[in-house]
Amino acid sequence: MKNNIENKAEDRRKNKLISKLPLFPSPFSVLLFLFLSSVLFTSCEDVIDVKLNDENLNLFGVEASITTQDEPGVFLYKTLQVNQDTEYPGISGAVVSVSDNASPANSVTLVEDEQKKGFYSVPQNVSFKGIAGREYTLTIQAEGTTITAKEQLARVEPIDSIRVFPSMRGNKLFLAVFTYGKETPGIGNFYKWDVFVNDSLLTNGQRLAVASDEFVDGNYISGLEVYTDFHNTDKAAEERKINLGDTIYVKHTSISKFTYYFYFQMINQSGTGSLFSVPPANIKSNFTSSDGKPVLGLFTARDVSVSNKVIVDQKIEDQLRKLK
Amino acid sequence: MFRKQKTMKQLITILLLLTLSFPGFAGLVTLSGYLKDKANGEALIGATVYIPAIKTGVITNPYGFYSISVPQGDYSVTFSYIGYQSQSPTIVLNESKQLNMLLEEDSKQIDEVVITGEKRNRNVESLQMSMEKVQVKMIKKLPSFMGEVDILKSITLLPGIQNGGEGSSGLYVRGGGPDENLMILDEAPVYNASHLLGFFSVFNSDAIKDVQVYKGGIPAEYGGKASSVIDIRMKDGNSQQLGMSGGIGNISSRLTVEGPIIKDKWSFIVSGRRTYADVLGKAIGIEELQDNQLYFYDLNLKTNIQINGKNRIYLSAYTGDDYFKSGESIYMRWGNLTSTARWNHLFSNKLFSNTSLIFSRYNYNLGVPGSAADQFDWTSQISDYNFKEDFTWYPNSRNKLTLGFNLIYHHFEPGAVDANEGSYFTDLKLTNYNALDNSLYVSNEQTIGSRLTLRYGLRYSYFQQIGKATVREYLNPDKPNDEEVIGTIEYGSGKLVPPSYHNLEPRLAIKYMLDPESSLKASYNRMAQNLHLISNTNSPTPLDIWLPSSHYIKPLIANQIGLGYFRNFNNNMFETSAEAYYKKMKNVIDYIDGAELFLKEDMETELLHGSGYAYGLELYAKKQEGRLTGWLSYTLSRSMREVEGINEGNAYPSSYDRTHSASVVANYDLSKRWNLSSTWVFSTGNPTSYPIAKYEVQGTTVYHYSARNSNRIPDYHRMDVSLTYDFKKNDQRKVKQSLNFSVYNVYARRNAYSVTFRQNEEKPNVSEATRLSIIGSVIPSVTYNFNF
Repeated sequence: MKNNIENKAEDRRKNKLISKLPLFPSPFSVLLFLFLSSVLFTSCEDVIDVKLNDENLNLFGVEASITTQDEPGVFLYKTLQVNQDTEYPGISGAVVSVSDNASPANSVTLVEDEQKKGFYSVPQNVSFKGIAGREYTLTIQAEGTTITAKEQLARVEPIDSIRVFPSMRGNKLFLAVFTYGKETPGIGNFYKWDVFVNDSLLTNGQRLAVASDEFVDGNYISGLEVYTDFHNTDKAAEERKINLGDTIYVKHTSISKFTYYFYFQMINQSGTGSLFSVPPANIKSNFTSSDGKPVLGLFTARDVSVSNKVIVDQKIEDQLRKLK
Repeated sequence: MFRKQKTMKQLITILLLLTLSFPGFAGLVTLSGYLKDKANGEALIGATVYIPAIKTGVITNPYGFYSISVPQGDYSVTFSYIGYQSQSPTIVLNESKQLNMLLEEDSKQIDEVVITGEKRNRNVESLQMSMEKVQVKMIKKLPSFMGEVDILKSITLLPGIQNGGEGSSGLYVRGGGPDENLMILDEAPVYNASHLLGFFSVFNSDAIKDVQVYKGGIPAEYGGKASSVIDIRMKDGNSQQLGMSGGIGNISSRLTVEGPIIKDKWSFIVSGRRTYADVLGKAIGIEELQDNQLYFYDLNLKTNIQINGKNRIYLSAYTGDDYFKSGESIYMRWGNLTSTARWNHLFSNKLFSNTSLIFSRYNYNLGVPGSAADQFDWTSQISDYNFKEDFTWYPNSRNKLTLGFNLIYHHFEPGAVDANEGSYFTDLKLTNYNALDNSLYVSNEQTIGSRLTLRYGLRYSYFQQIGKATVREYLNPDKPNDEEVIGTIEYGSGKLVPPSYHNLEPRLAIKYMLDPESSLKASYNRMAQNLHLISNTNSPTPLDIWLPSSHYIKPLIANQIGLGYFRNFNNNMFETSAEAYYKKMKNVIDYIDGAELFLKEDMETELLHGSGYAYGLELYAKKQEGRLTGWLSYTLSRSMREVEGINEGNAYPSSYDRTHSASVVANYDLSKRWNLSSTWVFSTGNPTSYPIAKYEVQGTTVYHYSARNSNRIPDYHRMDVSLTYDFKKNDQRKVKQSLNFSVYNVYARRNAYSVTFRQNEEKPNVSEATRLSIIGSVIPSVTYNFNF
């Protein structure tokens, strides 16, 4: 029991630490205080039963994206009540299309995946990759309702390189992924980094790495720690996400200001309840619906620059051991 | 505006007329002087001077001064103070006299009936309602947390005052927020009164003499905050003999040295405290502490010089810091500095004055040390320069007039980031703010007949920002938006920035004696607050900034009425009271969803404005004498907010809303050496919002909420126990020693700090309600105290 709690707390801490990106400072303080409290006091977490409101909203949920590298994809479903533990129910039979603001405008109608209910993608032999500088509109017609979202696809400065080496936290060393590259001059650029280990996306879920250029505008960003492989150092082997022999690369992507704040709030909300976190609040989506009801989720348009690949060799691994 | 000025003029005229319309009795003489503790010469604040023959009395001011004017004659005058032996000398008053009285502490012995000539019905007879005096001596016997008795923690045992649970630094007084309390240490405001997550306050109990907490009926001399006043006075220093006291506890040690430089004339006190958890932790090998630093300290200094019978000077200072450093990855420091210079002057035996020069500063910095690419140093501060003048005039035994003014200059530096050349951060400096905060007050306390006493006063406050400043103009000024800036107005250095805020704050207190053992009291106060703590976290953090009232932030105005019934039983062995209040607040600040308050210029785009109201009933019963002492308190209350843009504009319970809250405090003398003390607290769970729907983004469950604060986390209750052993007194050296054993959270309740929903790690489709308990187990502590 105790161990479990510790692990959870550790994990929560990990989630916070990833936010130590170009000033994501409010999670900073959360990190500090979590650290303080775990050292000095007997704070603990456990699962309890609470009575929830009965209301069933049954709203539309959408997760949609377009990038300069990948074909657009949309998942349309209905939201669940908090105590429901099923998969999100996908909605079939919707008319889903993506268009841009070029003149004349280009557009594509997506078709539903036969295997996955509610998933819509481009038809076979059709390509509709995003182009930097254009605005994309997603339109969904389902169950008599029209849902739309608009998103600007901003150009991203290509990434120079990434490196993988240990990062010291307290007196412990963890492997971390660092990016190098120029930040586009002019305030108003927003970034998201997707870290891949052996071709599978690592920065999943709460471990979002996003940043604004507010405090680093136009600077050369040298060694920005976008991912730290926190793990319980006593059980190094099981818990590490990055191991000897793994191939690492990063997708360095641009996101819109709206999307940045969406992720920002997701990170804040994931820590809600802790000492210095914000109260629970709804995150506004970029969808509007013809029936006036909220549609929950996010539509993103991103320019992608793929980094070099780094293989975690013995030399990197040895650095990790050296100071242990 | 013109109208307001006119009303004010009228009010002042009426006040003056009321005061002056009582013709001086022929042959009126004045008895005046100071009341002090016999053992150490400390001034006694709020002690009673009473003349039974003519049923008239007065209480000493914060410097121990009293003045009472009566017709010539021989009087038996009673001087009394809680915990001290009363004295009732007969004084021949043929002419005005100065009389300084020294009172001796009750050296009450067990099983001995203490006979005091005086009736201890201060709570019934005093005009002030909704006020509590906290005795440091008393709280030192209460169970402590980690060996540190804490003044602010013990205040929450009183009715109407709550906090957010463990790890929450703010006090919620009668439904008000944590930034609505005027916390002053020797008149200097303390902007962040908490150490280490709010587990401890910055007030070292060894250096503190007196604490007065006003929840309502706030006198006109106090202003600037909406909900309460917590007036903390430091000890003056022993003017009789050199003394040393201190203690050693689980996490910190304290040491105080005080004594006379010239006996009876000039004394000093130096009091310090520092935690050593980091030092100890390293020694016993706690891994997390090896490369980290974590401590706080406090240092209080004070000296006072009696120049002659008419003049006295006090100099006091406080400084304290929290310091945290985690290896080479991050450091953080925050702290307060206050200093006060005061001059007491007696113009005559009826006119007392105090002049204060006050400086107060709160600052913090944090950053990443070293010369790596992520190095930065970030600083923020607020400083106040304050000049204060107060007069108390005792024209006759039926009136006491106080008036004064206060000039404050605030300087805010919300944030500056400084980075090395090698760092990828850019230097950044947020605009500084300056503001003038001036006020003027007059108040008269008047006794009419033998049953009725009134205090009516008025405070006028003026607040305005001064340049340099840049004010944005928005397309829609009611809903400022970063995207809709239509222009900016620049104000040069020293230029006044409109608007100016003028507020008239009437204050009223009424007491009517029903019979010698019971009274009815009523009060009204309006308070205007021009400094706003910008914080949307569950508990204020040391990094939150204060903003002045400005073009887009209006002063917070609170109007409160209160009604109370006070009754003592059994020859005043039991004090009881029942108070009801209603408070209405205007211009309450809240935040848009997802507000970014961090290093943010033009904060108005993140703010929402609304109103609020709070009401409640407070019941209180106290036993002051005998082997068993203590109190019971119960509060039934409600605190609501109504803000456009939150909860669809409907009223919702504020985070400070607690339906029921109760406390039991008991102190029992087991024997001459052993004392047992226990406290139990209960309060309804904090309001929160539980989600009603979930969806996902990149594999993470995100929650959707409906009504704000429509749910409650589980109720909070906790019991603490302590046992104090007094060592046998050494008659020659007068060394007093004691050992205190405390147990916090005796029945190891896991009180919830919050309940939030999270994805189960193994089964991502399952959401669980997760309870966070800051203190999940029993926390014992031992403290050794000495005094000689």
